[in-house]
Amino acid sequence: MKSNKIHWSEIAVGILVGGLLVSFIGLLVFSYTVLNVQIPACLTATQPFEKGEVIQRYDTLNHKEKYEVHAVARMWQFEPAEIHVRSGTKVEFYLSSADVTHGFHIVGTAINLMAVPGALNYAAHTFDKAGEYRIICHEFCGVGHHNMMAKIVVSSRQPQAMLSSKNKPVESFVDLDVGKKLFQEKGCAACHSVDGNPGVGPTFKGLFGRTENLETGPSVTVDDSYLRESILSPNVKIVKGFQPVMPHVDITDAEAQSLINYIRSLER
Amino acid sequence: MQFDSLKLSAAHRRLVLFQLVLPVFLLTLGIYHGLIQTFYRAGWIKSNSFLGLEYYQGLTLHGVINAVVFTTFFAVAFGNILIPYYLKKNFSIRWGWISNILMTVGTIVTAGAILSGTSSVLYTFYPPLKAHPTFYIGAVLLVVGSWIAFFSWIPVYRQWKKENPGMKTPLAVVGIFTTFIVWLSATLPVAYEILVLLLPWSMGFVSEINVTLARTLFWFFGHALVYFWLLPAYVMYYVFLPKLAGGKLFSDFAGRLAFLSFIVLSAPVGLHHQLTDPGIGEKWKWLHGIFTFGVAFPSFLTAFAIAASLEIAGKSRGGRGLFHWWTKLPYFDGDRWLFSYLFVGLLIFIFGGITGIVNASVAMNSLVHNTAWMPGHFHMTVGGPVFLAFIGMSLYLTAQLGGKNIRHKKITLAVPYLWFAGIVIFSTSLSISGLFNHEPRRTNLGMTYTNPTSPLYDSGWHLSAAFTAIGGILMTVAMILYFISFFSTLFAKKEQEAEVNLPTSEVFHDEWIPCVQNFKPYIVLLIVALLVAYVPPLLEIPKNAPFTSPPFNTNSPLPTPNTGIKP
Repeated sequence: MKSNKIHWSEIAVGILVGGLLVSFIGLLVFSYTVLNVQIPACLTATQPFEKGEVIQRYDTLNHKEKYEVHAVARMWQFEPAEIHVRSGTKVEFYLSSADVTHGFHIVGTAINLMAVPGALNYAAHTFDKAGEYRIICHEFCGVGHHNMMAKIVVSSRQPQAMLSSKNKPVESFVDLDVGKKLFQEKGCAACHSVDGNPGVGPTFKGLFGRTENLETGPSVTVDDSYLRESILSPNVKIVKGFQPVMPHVDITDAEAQSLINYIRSLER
Repeated sequence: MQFDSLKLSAAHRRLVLFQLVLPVFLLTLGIYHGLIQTFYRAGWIKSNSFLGLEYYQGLTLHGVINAVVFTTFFAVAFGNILIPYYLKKNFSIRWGWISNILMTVGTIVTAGAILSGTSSVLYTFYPPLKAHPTFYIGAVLLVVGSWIAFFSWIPVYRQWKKENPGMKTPLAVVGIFTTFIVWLSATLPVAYEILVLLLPWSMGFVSEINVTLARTLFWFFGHALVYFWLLPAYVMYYVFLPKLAGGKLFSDFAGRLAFLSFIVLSAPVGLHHQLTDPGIGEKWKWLHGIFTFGVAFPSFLTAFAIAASLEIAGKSRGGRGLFHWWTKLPYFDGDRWLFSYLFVGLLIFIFGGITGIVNASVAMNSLVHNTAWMPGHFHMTVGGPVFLAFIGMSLYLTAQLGGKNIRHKKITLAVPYLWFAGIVIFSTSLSISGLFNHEPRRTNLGMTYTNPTSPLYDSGWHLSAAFTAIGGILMTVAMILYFISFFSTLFAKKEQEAEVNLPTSEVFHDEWIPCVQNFKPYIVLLIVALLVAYVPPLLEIPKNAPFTSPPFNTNSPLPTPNTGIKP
């Protein structure tokens, strides 16, 4: 049949298909805006890192700990080769390549990034389940490509200096070293031990997260704000069984935070 | 409009036969290494190389032969038949041979580079992994040769338009021209990438290269490439399939609208291959994602139009009702064997298309990027409708151009069905393992991940790779049958005069819709779309990813010394 008009069934199909595709796009927009599903983002303000390391940071906005992983992919290994983090903690991956284009896929998660030389890639993830996760390279990068694998070990115990030092390779655990130095320099070591024995003041070993009974009656769970208050305004909240003799400490906010990070890292 | 059988001059016949036979001959090596790859991945071969070919070298050969050389030669050969057949006027044989010589020399040069072991960079040749300069030179020759073929058809078409004012351009010509317009829009950026960035760098004149820029230019090419593959198959679906089925094309308007939409939308979507890359801003990833949903539109239209055409065929062969007519189509008719190649391809493409939509879905891409899901997907697209249509039509034309009949009709008929069985197992195991188990692609699993003695061993991947290999075996058996049919037909005695008869369908709803009768407005829209989609992300690259890289050999983690000037 010759005609100058489009057949009605074709118009119907056009509308149906158009509607279907628009609804797919709508679902994608929903996932991005409401569910906050992110795609790998490029960072332009920072240069790609040359050294792999894991840095424990304190997220002051959310009052939570977080890990910053500088992952460097090179022919044919990832640095760090083994990353230890605590479950439930946000881990931020900053991915660089030292040579060619590599893949960075954490098996069991949606972290799937390309390490492209000359650019820095970023994605964040919170590991809810404890366990071992492999990181594999899925982009051909030369003859050793099938040997490239790294591991993330997620444990539900609190991280300790020992556990953290298992992050290989680790050059410096930035905050903890500073906190450890301050522990000595500011005189805390005179009254507070780190080996579990009470001194003039409570021991710092396993202090973080412990429930303490206060002299004034109520019990408190030791957290960041309690520690900060105890450092900056001593003798306001005294643990039962100890005397209100802690002197005023000349210390900045940032230094106090470093001390808190160090105390937090001392496991029971 | 009736089309007479085409009696080509001996010179033209020899040209097209050469262009059909050479790639099928090369395909034996391409298919061989496809099979061997599945053995490596399943851990049945636990080694870097097998019978003289190293894994990644063979992977490069497999991709280049099957996906670039075979497809480009076929598209040119197909056009070389469609133009004289439908426009009843032939292109210049001199330019035809110039084009063919360039393509053939390019193929030999690149194949030589790969076989020498210096260019195992895979068909994507991502820098800063460096291939031998001849690898890139051969690719340029192949592409330029294909351009020349297209250019040689244009004067024929313009002459036809002058002599046939007010007539609709034959749909097959619309289709093949769409194919090559898309090809031009795709190959210009990759020609720049090769000639300006890669070649001087690989020859040592320039010391470093911007990797993000090269990748972005490659995928500017890489996505439109898949439409270069699909569109000749679409020509066969619209123009031949209804006739082979015993029916008519439901609507000629659908075909024209689909082809012209592909001109606009095939290219400005490439960033969906770079959704997990740094160096590209989020905004542009989203823009390309949405454009990609746009390019799904003409494929859905095609699905409807072709299904409706098959319904016409089924009902005219005695089918009734909503589903019964499906049983009346000529699935196992030895005289209409080409029908089954096209039909099985369509069936596979249902899943190829769906998995493609998943890949385009921006954040969802992170679940499947560079996993085994990817080869699962593209073996159901380029390895499904495209491959079956191309090998089917290659056999069809080779027989007719040689004046021969198909030698083994039953074997010929079995090929697509056996291929289908293989693909189902192959792509299903790859897709499931890729999505749920994150089995990686482009990896010689047998060395570590599917080797039980390795500390990297993964038992899940070991199992799925075994199934994939079984699928691969079935696919290879299908191809062995095909090669038997093809080569026995090729070397058979000539039985009749050599003439080409293409099963051209009549149209059921023959509409004259003015907006789909002219290429020019769609080419303009294409240029606008490309400017919008690609200029901003390209301009951002110097800011997002400014650092350049020296070349690396696939064998060594140290950059190869390069005394060229810094870019």
